[in-house]
Amino acid sequence: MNQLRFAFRQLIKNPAFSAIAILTLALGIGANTAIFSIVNAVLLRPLPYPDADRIMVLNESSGPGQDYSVALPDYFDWQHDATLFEHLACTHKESRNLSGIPGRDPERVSCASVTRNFFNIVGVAPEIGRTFSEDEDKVGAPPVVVLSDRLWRRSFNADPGVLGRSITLHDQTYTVIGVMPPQMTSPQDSDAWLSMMRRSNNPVWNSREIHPMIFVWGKLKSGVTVEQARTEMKGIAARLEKTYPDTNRGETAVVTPLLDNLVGKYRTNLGLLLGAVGLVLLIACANLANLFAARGAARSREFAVHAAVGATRWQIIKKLLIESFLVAVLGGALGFLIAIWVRNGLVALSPGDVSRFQEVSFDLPVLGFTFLVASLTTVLFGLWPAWQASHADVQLALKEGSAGSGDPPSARRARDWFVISEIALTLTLLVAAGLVLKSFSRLQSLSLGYEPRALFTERFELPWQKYNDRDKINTFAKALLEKVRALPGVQEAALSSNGPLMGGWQTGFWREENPRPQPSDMLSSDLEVVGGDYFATLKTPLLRGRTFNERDTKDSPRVIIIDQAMAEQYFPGEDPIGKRLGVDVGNDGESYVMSEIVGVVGRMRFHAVDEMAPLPVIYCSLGQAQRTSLTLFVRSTMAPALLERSIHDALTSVDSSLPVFDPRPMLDRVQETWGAQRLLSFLFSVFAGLALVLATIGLYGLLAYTTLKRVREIGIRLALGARPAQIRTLILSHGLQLLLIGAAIGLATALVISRALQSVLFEVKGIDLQIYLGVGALLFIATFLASWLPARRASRVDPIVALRTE
Amino acid sequence: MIRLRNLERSYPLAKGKFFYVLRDIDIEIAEGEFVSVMGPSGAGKSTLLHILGMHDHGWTGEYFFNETAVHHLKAKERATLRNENIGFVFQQYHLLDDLTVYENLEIPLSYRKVSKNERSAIVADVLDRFQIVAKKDLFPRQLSGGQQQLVGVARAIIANPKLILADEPTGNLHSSQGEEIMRLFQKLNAEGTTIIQVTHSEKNAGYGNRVIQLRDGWVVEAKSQPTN
Repeated sequence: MNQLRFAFRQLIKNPAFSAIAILTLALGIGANTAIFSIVNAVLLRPLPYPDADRIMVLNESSGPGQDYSVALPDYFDWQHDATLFEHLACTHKESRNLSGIPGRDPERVSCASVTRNFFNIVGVAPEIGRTFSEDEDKVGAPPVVVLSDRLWRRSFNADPGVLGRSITLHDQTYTVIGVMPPQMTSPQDSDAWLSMMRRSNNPVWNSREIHPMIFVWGKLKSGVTVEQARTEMKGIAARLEKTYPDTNRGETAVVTPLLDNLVGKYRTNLGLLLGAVGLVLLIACANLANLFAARGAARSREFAVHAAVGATRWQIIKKLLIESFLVAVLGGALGFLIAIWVRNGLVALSPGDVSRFQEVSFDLPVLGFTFLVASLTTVLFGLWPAWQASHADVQLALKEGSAGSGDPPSARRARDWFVISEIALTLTLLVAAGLVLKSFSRLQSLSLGYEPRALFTERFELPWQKYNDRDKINTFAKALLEKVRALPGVQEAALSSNGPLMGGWQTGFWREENPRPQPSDMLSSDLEVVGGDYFATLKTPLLRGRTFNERDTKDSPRVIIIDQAMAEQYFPGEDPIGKRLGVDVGNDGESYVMSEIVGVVGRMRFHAVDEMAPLPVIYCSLGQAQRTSLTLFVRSTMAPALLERSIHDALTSVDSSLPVFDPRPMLDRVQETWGAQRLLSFLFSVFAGLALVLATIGLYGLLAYTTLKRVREIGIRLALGARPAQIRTLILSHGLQLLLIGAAIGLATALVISRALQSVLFEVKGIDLQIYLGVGALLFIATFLASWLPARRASRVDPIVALRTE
Repeated sequence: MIRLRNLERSYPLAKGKFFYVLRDIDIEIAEGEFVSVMGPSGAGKSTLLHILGMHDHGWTGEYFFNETAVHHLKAKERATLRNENIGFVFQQYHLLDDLTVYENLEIPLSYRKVSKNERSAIVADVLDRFQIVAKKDLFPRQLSGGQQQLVGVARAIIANPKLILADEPTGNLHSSQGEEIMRLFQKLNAEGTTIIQVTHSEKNAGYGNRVIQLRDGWVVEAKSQPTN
């Protein structure tokens, strides 16, 4: 306790030194704590379900990056053959309009149709009521629904009497049988769970050709590894391939742990950020090590006195380590506060579509991490100076007093190496930041194939019981578009089944001239059903032919528009206009229909702004293809809030029972897809900037200290004829020497890091000469600035004074 | 060689007052002289030496060096004049700790645009002349005080100066080492180098041919004496 008091006294004695040390460390630890809090929330914190590590998500795939949902008959076979899962359940996400609640407007809720054993997999019991019985999860069963806690509170004021009440989902009445506890929102933020097997006789679902967005959840038996499950499922998929070659050729089953399924794609980014912020902390520690060593040298007389009166080396080391630890703890505490302070900013920068990013909190594991890092830094920056001070020559120190005449060469070399490592680490971080920034800038400047600015979007679901044929949908669409176009400030309006960045629907196709292939050999494309003047609204160029018009109805010959990618890929050197493709547009009771290509439009980046090899796209008119899940696109310069209200009024005037959801400017959707890149590039820039500042301060500190220590030498040199410029060169060359060695090492590590970064870079090569040269220039300027002041001071040394101080 | 007229050096005190270190100095020193500047501590001896060595610029009056009016020169021009004509020897030797004997000798040449090859030749010659060839790779801490001052004198003359300024050159040496250094000065003087030394020792002053006595910044006596 005494030692701690002495250490505290020492801190107070040198307030400027203490403040700089604590602040440096606080920045390093704060940045680490902030990033760890995200890693903890997103990757480490367990899912709120018992034995969550045994919960798997299964899908089908035809190769790497070619994952898709599961055909229902395949699921039945999996369920029959799999032996390593306690349960295999089916899930199917859809949104429905909730109505029939007195005093509440209709609203869109996120529903999940699940098999009854889904609740066994998540292992969470209902808060009130129950989940589906066996009789309620089969064809012909009465419609029942289990609500989420969120929906129960929002729409029913948490009334326990909700059990047994009826609610309307898409014009169908369901009886509420249970409410799940708050932590249960799977799959994907669901608000209501419906029985899946009630609809299992749906003919579309019973085809092995069709993969209708069904995903399978499974719970591994205790002791079974993911690898074992993967092997078994691959075996089952291989058997199905043999049994059903027409539909299952080349298909395999993919097993992914639930946590990986949710956030696995962020693992690399967060790992990179943790690495980057770790480097910043190392730089801060190197700075502090030099700072503490310099102070240790200045206190050599004090330590010599301690040693002279009987202190052992270990006692001196311990004394200094306690001082370092005190600085580390105070730095850690301030760092923790900094992390809390920046939390909201970080969350705002994070990908908005992953709820775990929003759950960043500073709980016990984060606090423990901060303490651990603070303790670790004590060793990193405190040990060497303490060891150095404990090895001072007592006789010399007592003779020379506190001024000292110079440090031993080993100490000088060590100090140089600390700064060299800071430069190397900074260069690495700057290169990484440069690459990530360039990648982000490329992403932002991409031509999307449409103009997202001044484009507003809203989504809605037409209840299929009410809008059960194409005429009804078309009448609705025409009325809505007319009303919206008449709104002040609106230039264009259109409808689409799934616009860019809003999911997709794929179809098989073949050219009329070729024989119809087996389903598994069919060529694939995205299919979008559009209404109104869609391409003009999105400002997508029409390259050939025409767009859809009012004459394209269900009774007219089927027409389609293809995108440039399809024209180039499947009609090279040909004019595709007038050619025909066999396409299944998904109309009930209809399969593949020969459709004539009437137009070619520019290519859009459809699923993601950074997609490298998108499928070609086939567009079909809403007049000829039936869709109830639609997005309204409105091109207008009006403020989004005003526009949203006007559109709501227009929609209500056409059908008052329709809730809209997800009203957002298109630009927001585009920017949301940048979330991970934006977070990465912003934080890398901040960390690289921090590293540059710390390294510059470190270099300045070293050279200032060295200059102070070399005053006598400089005085002699001046007395012997050195000119001020030559003294300046002496100090500057020391700085540049450190820069050169640091840059050489940093270059090697930057090359290694660039490779690791390659997977998150977009259209940027890891070895980018421009960035390397830019970083080199930046470091040179920083080194020059850091060296100039000490160099100038050195050149102004008065030899008379310098030699007299001796 | 040197002519000082009404030279004064002062430091400002509070309330517009000044503390004078040197007052109304009029001195002439001819080429080939061996002058000893003596006086009690605080008399202004070292200050005078640094003014003569053109390190100190804060004085008033006139200073002619080989008819060049130093008082009219800019700092850069004074540095050039100094580098071409003056060598220094210090009481504390002031060798650079991290450089070997060879490198310490090379330092003044490196500041005078002497080529690398020429430097090697000159250093080798001086090492030989001072009989310290065997010590060329040693560091100062590995030498005795006398040997260090020997290197200090060798370094002072290596650029072939016309004038050597020595500030208590034997102050840190025992008597036999001191005598050796003074004989060396005498020899250099005999070869044509002008020497001005600051000393407390009458015996050392005896090696020169003139003594200038300073007291409280004033020249109180300047007398010639027969050499030892």
